[in-house]
Amino acid sequence: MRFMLQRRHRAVATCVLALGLTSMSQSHAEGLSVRAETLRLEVGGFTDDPGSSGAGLLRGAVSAKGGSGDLEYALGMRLDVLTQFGGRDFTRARGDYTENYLRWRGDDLRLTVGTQNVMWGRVDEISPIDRMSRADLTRAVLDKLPDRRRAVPALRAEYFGEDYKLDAVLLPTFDDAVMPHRDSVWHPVDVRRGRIFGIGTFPALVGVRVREADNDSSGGGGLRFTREADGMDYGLSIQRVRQSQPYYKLMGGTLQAVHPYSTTVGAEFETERGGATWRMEAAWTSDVPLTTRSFGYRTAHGYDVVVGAEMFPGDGETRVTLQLAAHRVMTDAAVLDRTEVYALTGEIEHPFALGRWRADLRFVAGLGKRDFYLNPRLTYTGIDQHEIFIAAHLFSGAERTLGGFYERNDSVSVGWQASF
Amino acid sequence: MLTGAAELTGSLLARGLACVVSGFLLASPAIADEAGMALAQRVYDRPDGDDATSAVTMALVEEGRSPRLRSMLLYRRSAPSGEVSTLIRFTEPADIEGTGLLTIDAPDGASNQWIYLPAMQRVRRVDSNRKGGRFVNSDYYYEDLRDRKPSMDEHRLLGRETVGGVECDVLESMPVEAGNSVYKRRVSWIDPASHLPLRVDFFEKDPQVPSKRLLVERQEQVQGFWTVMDSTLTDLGSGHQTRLTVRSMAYDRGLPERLFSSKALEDERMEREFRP
Repeated sequence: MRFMLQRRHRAVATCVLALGLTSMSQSHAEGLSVRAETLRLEVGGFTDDPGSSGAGLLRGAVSAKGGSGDLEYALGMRLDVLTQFGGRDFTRARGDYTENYLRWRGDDLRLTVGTQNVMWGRVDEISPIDRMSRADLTRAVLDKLPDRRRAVPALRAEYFGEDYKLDAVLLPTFDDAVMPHRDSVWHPVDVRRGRIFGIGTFPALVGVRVREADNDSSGGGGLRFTREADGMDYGLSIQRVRQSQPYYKLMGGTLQAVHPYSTTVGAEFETERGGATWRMEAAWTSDVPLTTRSFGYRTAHGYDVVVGAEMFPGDGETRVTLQLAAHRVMTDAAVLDRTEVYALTGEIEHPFALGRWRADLRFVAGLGKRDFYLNPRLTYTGIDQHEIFIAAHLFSGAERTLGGFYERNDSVSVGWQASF
Repeated sequence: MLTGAAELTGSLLARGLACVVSGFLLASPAIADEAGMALAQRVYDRPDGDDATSAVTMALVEEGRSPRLRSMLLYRRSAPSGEVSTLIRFTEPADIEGTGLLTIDAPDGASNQWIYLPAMQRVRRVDSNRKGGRFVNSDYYYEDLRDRKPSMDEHRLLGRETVGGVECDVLESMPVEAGNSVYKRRVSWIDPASHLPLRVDFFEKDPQVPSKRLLVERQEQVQGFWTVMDSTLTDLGSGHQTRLTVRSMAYDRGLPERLFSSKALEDERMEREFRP
């Protein structure tokens, strides 16, 4: 882990240096653009008692893109400052790489080397095929899916046929998910109360030591075929990758994070019918990590199916997305994990006042088990490139669910974000 | 066909939204006449090249507030088969920069439409039959951006009136099927020389009271093709306006079919050599 951290720090330092040199020496190069991609400031207070009274976020990302002829390059980095106060206080500033690549493009072929965003799949919020990218778990599910994904070091070849695309990705080195600070109320392991996300609460885990995984290996690779046909798009993919988000197994009184390799075979489909755009993903995964009731670790194969729809009721401006998600792990063993999960997720976006305001509602509702997450948000969008918002995050649920694990983390926040 | 803002004020509106009215006929039932249909067809068939490229600025104007500006590039290609392809790429402001919209309209009227969202780096299919809803918070509805064949409306030639010093043919158009449009009727003032509408009134809920009005501020001949260079669409209820200004325009540059593909949609650099 230390090696990986050092490697990541070196990568960030390299990005800073390269961005500086780029902005100084090549600001007049053809096609070069340097920009602040994201600036965000957010502060919020917890309305319940998760062990702290509030939290704040300051985020910034800069990038430079340019090229000449068939070659193109990108340089980018981000800085996240997260703070938590009124209890388990911490402030953490963390730099990270974004897209830093060299790309060659031919008539039908595109080759990219370096860190890059790789988001496979089609559905919103829960995408079983999206396994290449690096997860950002610093704030659990508070941000939308694209903001919960980060670039990965990859070699990528994309071949564009007349109406199809072949996408081959190799992850030569593995980089794990970006995790919350160990004292963060969003960390999936709560050693104060002996809780692990998705597993349950065990007094024996109070104060247990948590060890991060050894990341010194390949991340894997995969191949995806997608095709656009008249009235419908579809795709098939196969990938063997290490999952970036950690799974925690008990080893001699320590919770050890692991990132197991698994093979995922996926199918995806997209069409428009009946005034809605329908999106579907189905995936088989060879090794879903599990914890037995005796705290043993094992894996089993599992299935995921997500069917989603995007619609504009009354042919108006309100956009509604809904996804029905099913996850099942095939095991006969008695395990602590949930082996069947069904949920309805979605989002309602309603612009009003001539587009100067927007009211949003994101939600997750468990089916068959009490599990709710509600995220209402009111945003002022009347100033181009800026958004000023107030949002709430409300959790409720049974043991081992998302809503249950973060039940004390209800919060209200205000924030500003901009792009330049 | 989603043909984009420049086309929208030029060939699209000229093609699809041409309608005219004069006050004493407003309450009359719509009865198509041959002269009206012929005029609508002439407007639709107006020469506009095999392809077109334009750079357009869209200003959203509201009294007492500073205007919000969007810049976009528009590419349109008409294939000999009758298929029409359109690519719109937003270049400003920064929060929507890179967003692309690709529309392929088949000769039989079927449409396929995809959007590219830079934040997700994904190409996604979208509902190509959407009519209502404001396009990027402007006063244009999605329907206004689509190709509208003359056969979708009943047309009547109502007479002649002067708009901006030009004596125009006044044409009224009403949907053949009520469900095929968000508008109950449209009235267009057509310049007989350019076959461009210099004014269009749009009627939504009340067929007697227009809800929106398009006024062409400036038309020019570019490479011999009449083109709307500056226009304003006003929401007559709120006073909100959408002004479209064409910064540059070029026809018949030989845009290749590959420019209207998902590869080009997700790869902004592919179109750079074709920018106006």
